[in-house]
Amino acid sequence: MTALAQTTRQPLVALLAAVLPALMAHPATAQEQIPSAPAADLEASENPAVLYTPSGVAYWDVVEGKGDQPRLNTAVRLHFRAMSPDNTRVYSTTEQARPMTIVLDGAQAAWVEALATMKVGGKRRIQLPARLGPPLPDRVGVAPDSPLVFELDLIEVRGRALTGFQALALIVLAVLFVGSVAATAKGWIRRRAGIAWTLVWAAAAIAIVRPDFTAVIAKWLGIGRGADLVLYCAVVTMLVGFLMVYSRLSNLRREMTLLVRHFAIRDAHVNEGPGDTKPTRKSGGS
Amino acid sequence: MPEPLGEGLPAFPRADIDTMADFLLPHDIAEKTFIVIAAYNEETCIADVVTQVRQQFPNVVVVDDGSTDATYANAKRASKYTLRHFVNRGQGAALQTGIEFALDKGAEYIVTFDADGQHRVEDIEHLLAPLCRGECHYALGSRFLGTADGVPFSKKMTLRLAVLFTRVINRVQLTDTHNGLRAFSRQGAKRVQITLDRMAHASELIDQIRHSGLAYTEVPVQIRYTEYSIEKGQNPLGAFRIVMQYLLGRISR
Repeated sequence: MTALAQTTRQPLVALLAAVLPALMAHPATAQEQIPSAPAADLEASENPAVLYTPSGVAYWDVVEGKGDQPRLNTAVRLHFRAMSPDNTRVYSTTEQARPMTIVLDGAQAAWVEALATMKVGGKRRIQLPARLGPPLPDRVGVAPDSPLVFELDLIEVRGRALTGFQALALIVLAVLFVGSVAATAKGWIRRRAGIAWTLVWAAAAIAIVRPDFTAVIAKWLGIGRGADLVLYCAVVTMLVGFLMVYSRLSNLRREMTLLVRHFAIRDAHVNEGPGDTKPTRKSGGS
Repeated sequence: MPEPLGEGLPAFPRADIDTMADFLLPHDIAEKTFIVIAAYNEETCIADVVTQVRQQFPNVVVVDDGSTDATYANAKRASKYTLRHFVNRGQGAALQTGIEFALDKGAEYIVTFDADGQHRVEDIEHLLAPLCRGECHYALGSRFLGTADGVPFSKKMTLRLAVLFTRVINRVQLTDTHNGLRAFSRQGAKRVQITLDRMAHASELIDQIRHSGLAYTEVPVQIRYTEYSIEKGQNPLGAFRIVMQYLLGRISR
């Protein structure tokens, strides 16, 4: 393969030869095989600083950014240019002077992975088949498999975009948080319980807004997923809660027995019937 | 403590009052002793049991534990003292009520007695003997020290398991841990407080006896297994529930 690529001056064929067998080896998988080895005379091969994302997208930084880094659930604005391997520009978002906005929501396309580790102000180039990169308008008319070099220009990281669930949950949790703080301060509930509940609401709010929060802690504890960690904590908490409820129930039953006993003794029936010849004794002291 | 008997071995010599020449109960023992009988739906036999006991020990306290039949009415006619739990709280609670009532009335000795006719009145004296001699404050009846006639096999096995359980958990060497015939001195009775209402009170009682630091002893008694009492007895599943309730009771305290 490599010899063929070197001898022919048509990188298109070379790349196709490298990519197609890989693509055909996994015909039905959803995960696409990203061509990992750049073809010989692409710009990538001249640049020693080529890195690869976890899925194998080659990328390198033209300019390194110094600003914010995008995070999960942030909206990101970027310009990008698509260039064919012979450095002719295929498309640029600057043509409409309107940058592209996408939200990083965790279901990442391969090219977004390369975008996610950039910083604002940075320019990064990645190399991908056209259909795996940022969306191009139809009129550009590039074959879906043709290799293109995309230059991503990260302009701005917007604040978090909250989903509807997150917004609603945050409102509820904020109310609960304030409620438990007030209840503790006013002494309506016990100190320890109040502090515990406040922490629970705060932790829930953080976990909902920053889903990777639980993942970080879970990883540190050696648990696979953040959701698993939350599940384990919930199970333990419920067991403890159950024991506490059972204890309360037992106390309640005991108190009821005391009540029943009080009336039983108070209303005792005394029978001085036949067979009892002794005079009734005065009840002595204990 | 003598080991429990197997089948076919000669009976352990019973502490029968007739054969013990060096002991007599005080003449006023009957006045100072209160017999506590906890009853639940025993309308058919409660009057007979009380009448039998009353011939020797007039101070009988019957605690009707929320029976739904005529137990209270029948007991009222025969027994000197009759108390009634207006809702069912369990045998442990009923016994505790009776014990507290008896202490209020100035009892010197308190004996718990079953309402279903399984126990013999003669055995009450046998239990009182070590208490009156001042040897101990608790006398616990044991059916495995004496002869037990007609013990059903499954019940015997369950009881043996209960004994083993008690040895492990309560660390007390007893041959019969679930015998309702027990005698307390006044001091001993004040030291115990039965809180587990239902059937697990037996284990709890043994716990408290051990913790009281007062001496206790086992006395052979005879149990009459009539058809009636066998029907009413605990089944093995019930035993499991008792164990769970007891263990949970210990945890949640």
